[in-house]
Amino acid sequence: MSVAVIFKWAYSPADAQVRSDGTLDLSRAKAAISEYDPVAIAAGRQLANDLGTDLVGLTAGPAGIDSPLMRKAALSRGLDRLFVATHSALEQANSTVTANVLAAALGREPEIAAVIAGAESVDDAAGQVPLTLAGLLDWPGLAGVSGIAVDGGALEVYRTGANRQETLRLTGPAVLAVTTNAVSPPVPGMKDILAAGKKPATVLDEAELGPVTCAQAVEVGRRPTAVPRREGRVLDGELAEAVRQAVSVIQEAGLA
Amino acid sequence: MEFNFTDEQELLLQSLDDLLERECSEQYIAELDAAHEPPTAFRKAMYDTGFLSLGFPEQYGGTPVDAVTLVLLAGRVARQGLNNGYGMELLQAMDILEFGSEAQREEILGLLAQGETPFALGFTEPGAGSDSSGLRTSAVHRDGQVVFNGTKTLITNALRSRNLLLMARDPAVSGSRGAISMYLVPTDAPGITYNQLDKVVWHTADSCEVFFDDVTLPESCLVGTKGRGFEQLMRNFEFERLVIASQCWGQAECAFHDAAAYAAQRQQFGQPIGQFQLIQQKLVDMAIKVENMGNLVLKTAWMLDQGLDLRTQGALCKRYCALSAFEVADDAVQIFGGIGLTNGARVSRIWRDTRGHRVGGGTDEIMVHIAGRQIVKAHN
Repeated sequence: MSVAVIFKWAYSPADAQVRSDGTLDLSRAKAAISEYDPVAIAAGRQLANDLGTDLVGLTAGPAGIDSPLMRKAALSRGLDRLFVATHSALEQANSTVTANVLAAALGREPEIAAVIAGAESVDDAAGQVPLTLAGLLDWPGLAGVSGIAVDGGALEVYRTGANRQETLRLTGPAVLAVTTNAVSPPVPGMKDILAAGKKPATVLDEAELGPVTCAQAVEVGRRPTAVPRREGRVLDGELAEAVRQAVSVIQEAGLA
Repeated sequence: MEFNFTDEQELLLQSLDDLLERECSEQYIAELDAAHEPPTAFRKAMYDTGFLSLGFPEQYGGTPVDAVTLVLLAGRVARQGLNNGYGMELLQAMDILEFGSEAQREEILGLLAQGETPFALGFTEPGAGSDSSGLRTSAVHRDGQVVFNGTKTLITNALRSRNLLLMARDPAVSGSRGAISMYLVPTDAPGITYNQLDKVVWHTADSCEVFFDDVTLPESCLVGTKGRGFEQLMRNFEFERLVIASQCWGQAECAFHDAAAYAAQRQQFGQPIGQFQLIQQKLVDMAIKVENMGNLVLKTAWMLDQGLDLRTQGALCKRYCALSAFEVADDAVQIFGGIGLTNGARVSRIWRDTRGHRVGGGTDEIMVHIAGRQIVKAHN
């Protein structure tokens, strides 16, 4: 029995530059664990501890995704071991293909209590992969999970919505996408990072995963939607004068 | 030559960035500075995540790490705008871990774990600073006890610390050699009084005159070997200079980025002031200095890791970085104009704090004295 966490190795938003046309320049962005996923790993760690099981990580991408940095970045966050699924179908990945590759990779793990995921990925932000994966595995899929507890042989899952709090009881495996504040992920220290280099990682290639045969939604175009430009203005002078200028700017912008 | 970080350094810096974002915001630092408070909560978080025990021996719960990694971390914390935020604790702990008794080690490590400043270094006196031979505070050993008398001045963190790492001399021994010993003295010991000095730099650390009037303690307060205190203290002085240099580097980088961002948005005569060549020249010279500081700090740290002699290099590094950081901060204030002279602007605090580094840890002039002698000697 194990708990699995799926995560994305994506760009670090801290390094992204927004061009004047609203598109992102990622040419200088370093790769990092997608910023919604450390909370998933932390939630998975907590659940694995409660169940007394291993926590296994899984990420998927084209062949180039596997690197010592990626392995250490993931394993230093509390995973016991790691699967890296590489597949040529992920060169132009969309959520359906990604979920198919992840499902194939999870087939290598004999018994899984739950798959934990982040709310969405930092780049596409669609939040589709966990629920598509749940469908492929024929398991329940729950998004917006704010807490997970073990109760006997079952899992209790908490979800908080705009006007409700739900408690759900799961008697079998499920895919759970956790909210950004479900737990507070710890910051890996030097000991965690050094230990990460000694933990096992297994690369599953296309030959082991098999072909991806699902129908695909192919992206044929993408353009940024118009975002109102935020203008920064520094106002000079004494406080009263600065306030007068602020009022004037607001009025000129038609905001008052 | 390899300029890339190792995977471990890359990940450690990412972790530190996460921690800085959570625990050491710009507002937090500004509030500490305004209230003249130390960054205790941040230090506690640093300890809890293992950053504050980096470099400590494993037997004391630490993780060995190279000097290059340590200065990278110290520079990164300073880049947040926090003065003396990282590195000094390790230096302090090393003095005790290396020379102290088991009881002293336990106490200091326990205080570090709580985010406290474990001790203030009691070295400088009205007549002794750069010139240690002028040290007059006396320690007289008698019947298993030590009696201290004298005055220390400009003692950083004296009010916030539980202990003083006091340097005092045996008046029966003439000269400096064999006369000075190191003691761990509780700050609340009877006979110690304080006069806080109102200084213009380093508001997150207090500075005091400390008076010792027949302060009597058991001899177990001795750290290391009697008469070897100065040598013990000197063991970590070159590393201290390197840590200070790395903090100067980080603070200069912070001031540079603030100034560059301001120049890009501040409008005068219908355009951002960054479009004017006079401002561009300042930014370019600042960028060169920041780059040079980083290279010098990392090369010096690498030399330390290789076990090479740092007497000249350490002094060159400390002098250049302290001086250049202040110049960068000064140019940053100039680019900000009037706003740069207000307490609300981060560059004004960095300007103040970097000025302090031209004096603390060895003045610019003492660095010339140290490095100059070595350079002439090497060419004689």
